[in-house]
Amino acid sequence: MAEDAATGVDEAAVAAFAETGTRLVEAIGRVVVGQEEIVQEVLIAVLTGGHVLLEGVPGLGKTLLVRTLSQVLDVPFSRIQFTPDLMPADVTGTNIIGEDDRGRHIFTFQPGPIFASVVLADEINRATPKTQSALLEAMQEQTVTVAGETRRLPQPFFVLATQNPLEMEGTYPLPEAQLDRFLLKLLVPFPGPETLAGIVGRTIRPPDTLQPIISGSELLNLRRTARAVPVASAVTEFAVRLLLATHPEREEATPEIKRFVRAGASPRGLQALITCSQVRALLHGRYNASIEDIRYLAAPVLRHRILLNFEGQAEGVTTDALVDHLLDAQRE
Amino acid sequence: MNLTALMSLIHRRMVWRHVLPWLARALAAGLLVGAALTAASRGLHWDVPAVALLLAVVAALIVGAAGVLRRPGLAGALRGADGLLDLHNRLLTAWEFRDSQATLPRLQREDLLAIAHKEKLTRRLPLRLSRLDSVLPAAGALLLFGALLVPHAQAPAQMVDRVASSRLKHAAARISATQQSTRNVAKQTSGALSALDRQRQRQIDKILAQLKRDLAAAHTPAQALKAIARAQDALNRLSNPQAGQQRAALQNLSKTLSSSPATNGLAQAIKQGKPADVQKAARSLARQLSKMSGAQRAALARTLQAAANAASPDSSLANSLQNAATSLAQGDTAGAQNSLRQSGQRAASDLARSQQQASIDQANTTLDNARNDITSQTGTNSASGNPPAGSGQKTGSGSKSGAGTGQGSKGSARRSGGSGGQGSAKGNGTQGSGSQGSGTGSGKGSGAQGSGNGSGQANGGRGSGNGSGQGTGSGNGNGQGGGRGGTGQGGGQGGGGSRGGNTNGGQQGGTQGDRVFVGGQQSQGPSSSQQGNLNAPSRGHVSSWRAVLPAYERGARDAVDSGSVSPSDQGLVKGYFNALDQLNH
Repeated sequence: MAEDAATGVDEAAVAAFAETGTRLVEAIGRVVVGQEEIVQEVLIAVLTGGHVLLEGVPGLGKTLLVRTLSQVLDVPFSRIQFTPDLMPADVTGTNIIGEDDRGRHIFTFQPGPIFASVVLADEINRATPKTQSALLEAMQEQTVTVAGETRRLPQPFFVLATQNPLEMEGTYPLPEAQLDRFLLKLLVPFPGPETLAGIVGRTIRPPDTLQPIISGSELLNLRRTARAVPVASAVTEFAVRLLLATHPEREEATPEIKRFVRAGASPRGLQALITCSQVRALLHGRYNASIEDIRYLAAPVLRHRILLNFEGQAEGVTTDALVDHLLDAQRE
Repeated sequence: MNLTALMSLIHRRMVWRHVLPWLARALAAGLLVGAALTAASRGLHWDVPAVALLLAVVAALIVGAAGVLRRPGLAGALRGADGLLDLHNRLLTAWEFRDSQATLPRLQREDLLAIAHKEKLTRRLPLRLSRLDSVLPAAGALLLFGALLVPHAQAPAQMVDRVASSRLKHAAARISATQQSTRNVAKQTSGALSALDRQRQRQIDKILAQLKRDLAAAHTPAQALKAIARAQDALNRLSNPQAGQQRAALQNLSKTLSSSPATNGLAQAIKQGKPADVQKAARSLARQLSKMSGAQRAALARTLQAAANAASPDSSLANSLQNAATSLAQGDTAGAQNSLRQSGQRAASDLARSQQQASIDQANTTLDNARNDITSQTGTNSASGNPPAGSGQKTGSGSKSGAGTGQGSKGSARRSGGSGGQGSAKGNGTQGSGSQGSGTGSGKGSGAQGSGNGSGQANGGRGSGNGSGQGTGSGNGNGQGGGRGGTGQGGGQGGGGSRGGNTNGGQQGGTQGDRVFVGGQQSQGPSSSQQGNLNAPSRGHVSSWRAVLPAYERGARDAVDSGSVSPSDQGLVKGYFNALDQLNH
């Protein structure tokens, strides 16, 4: 079977991607009722290697989704419940005094919960900014530095954070720098009647036992395969135009963007658009990214990267609405 | 099918899909521009020049060229096809990575070709026009067709202008022909005319030449009519008032002289209307006097006496002939010869002047006809309107006149009529009457004088004139009593009607119809003459002038009413007869 010397991707890997993706969706779907789009988008983020911020009211299955995902992935999983008194060391770990073989007191590093492949940061906005910032290095560099010593996180590594948009008292909104580190921000919708009925059905019967489907190394291979998906220049140009249009100071910006936006998306947003579109293409059985993929991913990629100004916030403008407006304004 | 062939096929298809609507728009643009130009030409006073029509073609070409020039390139075509075929940028990606041998680009190309093979992609790119592109050319064609159906606002005026121009040319041609005719007359009669008459002849030619120039320069019928009126006035001033008498005298003279073999040559020369021959024949007769016997001289004297009586309307000529007869009867051969030569010269002069007057009359008739032509046009010009959809009737009145002369001169008839909207028209024409006619009457012995009245008829534009003459004679001398001599019929040649005259369009139902002009045609009328029985002359008897006055007056009034007499002359004639009536009563 021919293997691409440059990327190391062969046809088997390509076939395995689609097959694995299907199996993952099917497995998660057995536990998480409805939320197909959220499941798919979480999978896209996982296969891309990015972090996901899940926002939704309590009880919509955000934590369940992450836990289920950790079950189907044969990788270490940890959960951090963010509270106002959570300290950075509670996340990253810390040096503690112990004794060596000869009875001398020494500092030994006790890894925190961040040292896992799948980290669930539950209600991340309830932690103080100091603690939230402890995630910065881990999310971007995928390393943790404690007491001057940098330690690499296990691979694969990704954070799935959740936050509740309603109970805002005593919360600390994530700073822009940290928001930008999330590949996607997913808004978990309230389920419809059929989904609710399905949830009831799953509640009253014994839970399904999920088996791991892929290992961490296999997941890394899938990521490498996705990066080899060809992206036509027209697709890239569309993504670039879209991203530039989010910046109010750019001439590509529409009057609405100029009026309501304080800052546009960062280049990470462009990277996210392209890489996510590659994964989505393969998940849909295509071998090329398309403008349609960009359009589909624009909202989850850009909604947390566009910062509204005071007028935008006062007018109640949502970034989703602005993204939709930009998509309408963009010519393919 | 390989990738290149697929891309090429899709590219061509997309180009056609792009160009076809533009061609439809080009066609629509051409049709719409053409419709706009046509509508403008119909609605405005603008005659669309050919270059304006080319504008429609140019508009179509520009739009078509814009479409062709803006046809998509390969990348644009593939991008468009990706969208139309819902291929999610498969075409564009495959073309962009066509040279890549990496696994995924290769798989992507294979995937595309499989889809193309399975779904027959080109069939999903039909060459169809959008509804708008289909409707626009049809709408343009309908608009153009509709614009073509709109009557041209300028057409009637243009037609009138064309007709007016044609009429003016026709009138000018008539005048040219008349001018040539008068010049011919001048050549034939130049030897017999006096210096004054020759001057008059030159003036006739000058008047006609000036009229030709005026007509050529005339831009409106009014200008032409003014020029014609000016020329007619000038011609009327040149008319010879005694021409009628002289012509009558010559006719009588010719008829009288033809009764004698000795004077028959002179009679024929007069009859043929050649002044030079008349002089020559008179001189020849004078030379023969010395060779004649006494009986021949006596017979000739009687003939000359009769001729003197016949030529009484021209007193000079009658006197010369009288002198010749007297001298011959008295045996004065030299005196008779001299008188005969004078008579010949006088007759030739009368003949030439008569012909000159005929040419003036002919010119006047020609100008009348030209004026009628133009006046008819003016009437048309003032009329406008479309034939009604309903029924229209128009009655017109016209006049028809014919003039016959015993000498067979041409008369003229004029007829005009109108027609109504649907072509039912009634024209009422007044029957013309001959203005001039002369007959010769001869009675037993010698009929002294005869004059006739001619009446002309013109039917349907073909004029025929019949002359009927009534002659009264009064004899004198040689036991020849005067009396009602014979009766004669003047042969007439009726001139045909020329062109239609004015009509006033009748209206019915509030609509006005077109005017239709029925052109007349000149023709020759039959001529007949009857001569009294010379072999069995009977004594005539004298009639009182009061007895013949009504007939004279009737003939004169008919002649006056025919329209060929100027108003001033009409007044003179009527005044003359009114005076006679008062005297009679």
